[in-house]
Amino acid sequence: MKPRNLESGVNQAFPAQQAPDDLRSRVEAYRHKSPIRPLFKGTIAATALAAGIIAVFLLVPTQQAQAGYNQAISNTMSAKTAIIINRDANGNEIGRYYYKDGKSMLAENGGAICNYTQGQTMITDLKTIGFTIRYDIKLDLNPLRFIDPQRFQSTSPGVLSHEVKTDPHGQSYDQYTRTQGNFRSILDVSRTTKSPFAYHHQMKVQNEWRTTGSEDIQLNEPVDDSLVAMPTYNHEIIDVSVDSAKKWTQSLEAKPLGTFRSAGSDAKREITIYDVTVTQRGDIFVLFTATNYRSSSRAHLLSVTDNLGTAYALQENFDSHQSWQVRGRPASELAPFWVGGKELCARWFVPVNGQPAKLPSEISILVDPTQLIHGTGSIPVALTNTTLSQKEAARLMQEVDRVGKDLRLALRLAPKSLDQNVVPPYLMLFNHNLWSIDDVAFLELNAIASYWKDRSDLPKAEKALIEALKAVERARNNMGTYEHQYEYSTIRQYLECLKQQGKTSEAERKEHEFEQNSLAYQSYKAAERDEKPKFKRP
Amino acid sequence: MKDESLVQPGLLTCSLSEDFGEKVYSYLHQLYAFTIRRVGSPSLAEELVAETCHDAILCQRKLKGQDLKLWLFGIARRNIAYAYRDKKRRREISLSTPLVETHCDPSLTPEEVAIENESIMRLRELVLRLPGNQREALLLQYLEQLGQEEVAEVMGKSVQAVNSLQQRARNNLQRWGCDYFDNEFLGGKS
Repeated sequence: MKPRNLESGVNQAFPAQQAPDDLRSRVEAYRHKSPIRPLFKGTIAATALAAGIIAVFLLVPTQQAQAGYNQAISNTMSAKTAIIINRDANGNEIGRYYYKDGKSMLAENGGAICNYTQGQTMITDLKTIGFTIRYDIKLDLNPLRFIDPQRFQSTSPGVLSHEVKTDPHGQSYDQYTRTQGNFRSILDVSRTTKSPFAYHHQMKVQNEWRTTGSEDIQLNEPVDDSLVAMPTYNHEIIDVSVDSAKKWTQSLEAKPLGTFRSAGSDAKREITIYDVTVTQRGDIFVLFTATNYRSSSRAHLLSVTDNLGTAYALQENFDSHQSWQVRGRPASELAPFWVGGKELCARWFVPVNGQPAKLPSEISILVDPTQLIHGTGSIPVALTNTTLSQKEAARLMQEVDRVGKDLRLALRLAPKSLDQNVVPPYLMLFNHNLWSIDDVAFLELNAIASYWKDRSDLPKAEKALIEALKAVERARNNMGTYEHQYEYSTIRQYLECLKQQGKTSEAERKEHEFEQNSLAYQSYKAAERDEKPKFKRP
Repeated sequence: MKDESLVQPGLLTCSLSEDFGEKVYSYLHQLYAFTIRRVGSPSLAEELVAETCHDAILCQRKLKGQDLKLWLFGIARRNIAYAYRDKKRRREISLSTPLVETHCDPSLTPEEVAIENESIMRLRELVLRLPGNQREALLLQYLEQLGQEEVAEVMGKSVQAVNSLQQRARNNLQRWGCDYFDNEFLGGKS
């Protein structure tokens, strides 16, 4: 409901969340933890001190120090601890992470200890031969999402295969391999405890699968449903040298799409884009190289994908003569990357005095990457064949400036499965903070449908709505920011579109299907009839 | 609501301590709601609630005739402040942006829903931009529905100071948000 006034708006902006049912038992258990806790105010201070103690030990790499380190770790850990040991391509240990009740994590990261609470990203640079692998670990509240092989199977994209293998001790274990493009992740799961004990990642380079790292997973106790959290991983971000990237892109048969230069504070920044793809999930996949960058004081450039397709983020790290393969969120996240001086930002449907103001839809704004765009805030990537002339780009920039500040530009996310003739030349701009990839795709497709409905081209609108329903299904499966009302609204528009085209019997058949299969449709139809929904909203 | 059994600090017995613990725990869900709205992270909120309960039970002698709920809110406020202060010292990169729940009219198009969501998020940003005391004075009024005297007790300030903080908070929100929100909306209660 739209907030009526400031008070109701603040209540909506700071919503209360239901406390867990076992809050009291957790609170009581918490009070009896680490002996160092009572000395300090605040858990964070306590663990920061523990981190400080551990960090001190790390500076003195003696056996005694190691023992003290281990003791310090165990002091702050409760029984339910997961230890993840990271190894490089040669199997050398290069880092380890400890999960305390799944709520916080102490990570040994090149000698530094960082404490992260659940839901935060941890960034680790693991130097390997010729590669730097950056990890983002998103702590997942539901351990089953990671440790349950069935979940691993159903929530991970790509092609999944399964083998029963035997370890050197003659013990059988399940190995699940997920292959997506030139990346492969492998999860080894104990057949007896049903818990994962190793996780490997490989990258295909010049037709060879090369192991880029692995993790040994140690759990202090057998896995059960009460284990609070286990990490999900993004391992598919790899830094390679420019030369390697060039060989790599040649092996991938990627051809440069174009080169951009951005003038500004980081002058003579040059970026060459080799490949842009959009996966069926709607993920953007950009391969590019960058040269002539000064090192940046900003945070590390990473993309984050968890296997549920939610909560992406990109940050920035520049080393000269390096390149990145980035798989992640819309270009609103990439936008800071391209900033020399001013960020290019634009907002979709900017409310002006409370009324939404649409940007002109006739402007073709997707930049032909073969063009060189000078000035601040260039738009880096084109996903369709639409091109933007210099004059049109200038007009767009003026429009963006007129509309206001603090806006975000996003890439088009129309899936390649959508007939490119259905994709109109218009700009999709929105606040990236609000939605996941699938929501972005969903909104994009709804906007495409609206565009064609406005122009009475119902067949094209129908195609877009069909894709929108696929996107919302992905969002639902990935448990992102999926909302029932999105699905319900799209279904209604889709059925209406069919009826307007005279496809009455098809509309009736589809409606019957939705009534059977769509919880969202059931719920809202029941609400319309003032009945209780048959099922609870997840 | 005053807790009359606690008006004589110092007369602590084992049974009183246990009773006191039970009384503290009776506010557990309110403490959780208070905390989660300010920190966003459920796990951090749990930790801070536990910390608050722990501190309250340890320091029950300091409860001198005050309202227990407001006293607990005051402790929670302090622990939240510690947590934020500590967070600034550490290199943490937050991945999850807490999403605001909306309960939109299902007949709205996704674009319309997106606009509403955006306005709520924008308001949240403006409130978070307020100086700490102004923000807290406003949130205690709007979220916990406390009167000015109660807000004063939680914050350890005079009623006049609270009134001034709340007014300045509203003025700041009007000034910062006037290019986005209607003045009538930012004017507070209609």
